[in-house]
Amino acid sequence: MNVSRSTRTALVVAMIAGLFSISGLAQDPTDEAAAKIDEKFGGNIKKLFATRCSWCHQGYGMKQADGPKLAGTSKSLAQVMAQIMNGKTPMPGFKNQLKFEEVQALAEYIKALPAD
Amino acid sequence: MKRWTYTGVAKALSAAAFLGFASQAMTADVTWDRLMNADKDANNWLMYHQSFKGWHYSGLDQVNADNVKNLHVAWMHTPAASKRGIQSFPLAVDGVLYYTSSSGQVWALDGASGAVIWRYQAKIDTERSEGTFYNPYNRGLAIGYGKVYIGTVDGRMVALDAKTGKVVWDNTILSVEKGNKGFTGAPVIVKDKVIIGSNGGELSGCCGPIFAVNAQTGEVAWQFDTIGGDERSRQSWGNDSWKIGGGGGWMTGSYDPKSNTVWWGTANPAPDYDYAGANWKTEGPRSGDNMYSSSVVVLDADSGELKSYFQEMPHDAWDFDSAVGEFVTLDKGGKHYMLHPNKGGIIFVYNADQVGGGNQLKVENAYMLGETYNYIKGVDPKTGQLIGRRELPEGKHANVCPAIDGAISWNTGTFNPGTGLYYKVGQEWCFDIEVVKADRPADFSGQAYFGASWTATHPQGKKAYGHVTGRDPLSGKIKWRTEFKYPPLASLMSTKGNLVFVPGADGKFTALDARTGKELWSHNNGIGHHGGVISYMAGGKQYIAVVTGWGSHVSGNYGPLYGHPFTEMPTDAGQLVVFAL
Ligand code: HEC
Repeated sequence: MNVSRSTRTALVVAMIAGLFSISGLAQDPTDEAAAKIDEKFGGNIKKLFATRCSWCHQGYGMKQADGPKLAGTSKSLAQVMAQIMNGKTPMPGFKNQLKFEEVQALAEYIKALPAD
Repeated sequence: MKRWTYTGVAKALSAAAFLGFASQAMTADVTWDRLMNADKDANNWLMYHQSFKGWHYSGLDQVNADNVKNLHVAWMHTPAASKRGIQSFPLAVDGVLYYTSSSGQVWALDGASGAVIWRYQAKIDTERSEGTFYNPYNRGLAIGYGKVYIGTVDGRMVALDAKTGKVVWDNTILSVEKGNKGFTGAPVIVKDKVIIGSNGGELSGCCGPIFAVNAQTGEVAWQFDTIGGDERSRQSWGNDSWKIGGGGGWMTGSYDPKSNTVWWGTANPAPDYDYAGANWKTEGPRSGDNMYSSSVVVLDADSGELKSYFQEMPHDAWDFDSAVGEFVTLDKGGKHYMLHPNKGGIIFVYNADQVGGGNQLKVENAYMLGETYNYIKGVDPKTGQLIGRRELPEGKHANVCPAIDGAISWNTGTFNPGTGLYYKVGQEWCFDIEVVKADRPADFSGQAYFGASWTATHPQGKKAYGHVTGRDPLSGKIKWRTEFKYPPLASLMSTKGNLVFVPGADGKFTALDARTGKELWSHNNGIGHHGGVISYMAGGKQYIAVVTGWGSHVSGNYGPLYGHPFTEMPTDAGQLVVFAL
């Protein structure tokens, strides 16, 4: 096969581009974490997170803003649950707003987010 | 070295003596007459917006463009607590400075020395206040009739004796029946009443009331529900969604003596963002116009009756509410105008003569102050109607501008009658957002109710930035524009000394030449500014007082957008810093 140098370069570029597009298609880490939680609790955890927490915790918990980035929190599951229930000014406490199971699901979702 | 001439010293001494005497004689009271004439009383700052003109202008010129280079710190005061910084507006009456800091603290200080005269700490029902997002902000106070008035985050109003700080009355105004919310804004005195609006735009409650309270007794005299209070409002919320529609009027509005009306800006509807997108007229969580959210309401000052209104954002799909409390009155060519900025970056100019009948306000002009926007294509200057709305249906939307934080925040601009210019901050930033189909919460439950998740971003091809413009307020024509690397979030003040003071986000407090926008002086206060700035006289000397401190839903984006110095900036510190020559 007579492949010119430029064609070969183009092929390599195309292959690399292909690789990137495959990794680009890889699951959003928040979807990955949410899939496990939704299976266990039978709800839609990202929707719950957006409805209650998004004002201060951006990118479904992946980004710092008014509230900290939640992915990779050093808090234990129990501590995360306590934080959600009791809040810490300016974060409101959600113990009167959320069911215990919802608090548990949110906490498990946060703990399932990748650290980086 | 400066030369002191005999006459100069004598003049200064006699002025000081006169003012000293005057302050002794006048500490008596802030009467309605004084409040009505606050614009002519340059020595004092008697109400949040300085006067019912809403200009945030100081008629003092001891500090001016020629000598501002000699301005330095005279004294400082550190409040006992300042979680989320200090966001309030100090007031100054006859040489005494009053201000509030977070969690319901009130301070009365000697305006010349900063010595504490008294301090009050409201007892807050923390179980209640910590259930909302608006804790522990307090944005200021009102003074009159020998009393100091504040609202609290747990829905109370408190009147204190202005001389002693002792409680005169303390009443719960806002019940939790229709959703937990409270007061963060400063009250304003209108005749024999004190007016205050509630927060709650992001909560699944109702009805975002504005209250008028009897100044002497604390009894509620009237209440205007910003949503669900009349038939027109209820008709504009599909499926009775007004019961979970948020609303409110959390910033301090104003009073127009000419028509005896209270002008107030209202909060956004809940949920923030609407999955129905372009079908919002008939579908979605809150189909319809959602009156009177994201609107200006004009109320009879005596009865609270709705005289006129204008919905600046019909069916607000972006959280660009109208809660900005700034109402600037302008009289030109025999016409009476009211200017009002909206979070979406639009300045609305209303005809303030044509008020009444419960009808829509007449728009005389509307112009874009924001520079980076794609949520609309523009605004019709003749009607104030939005042109080319970009709806955000369920799903992902990249590069929506401005971000939820708006092109205009709740702090105020300033109008200077000497230059004829209106000075105002614009914020330029964007975000990526995913809109979700949030489940409907129980009626009146007062729960967090958003319909999206998002991430703050820079505008395409540019870093997020801010600007201060000096412009003709009615036409919007720009005379000068000064860009800021970090969008300022605090209020501005202009003075007769041809200065515009800009308390910056990074801590830099700057004085610009009001005629050109050129920087004349600056001082680093060491932490961001997010509140008020005033000027007053004490002992014959002009003082400029600014509050410092950082921490809010909006300022939370500065770390991710810019990094240093915002990533390390504390959100539980702040001071009152007072300057003089
Ligand atoms: C009004 C803003 C706000 C809202 C709404 C909010 N938070 Fe927070 N959150 C914060 C702030 C601010 C902090 C940091 C508090 C501190 O430690 O001072 C925080 C901290 C946390 C932490 C602890 C993180 C750590 O590593 O220490 C968790 C977990 C958390 N939030 C979860 C949630 C969840 C889940 C929701 C929704 C149910 C939520 N938050 C809603 C503002 C908010």
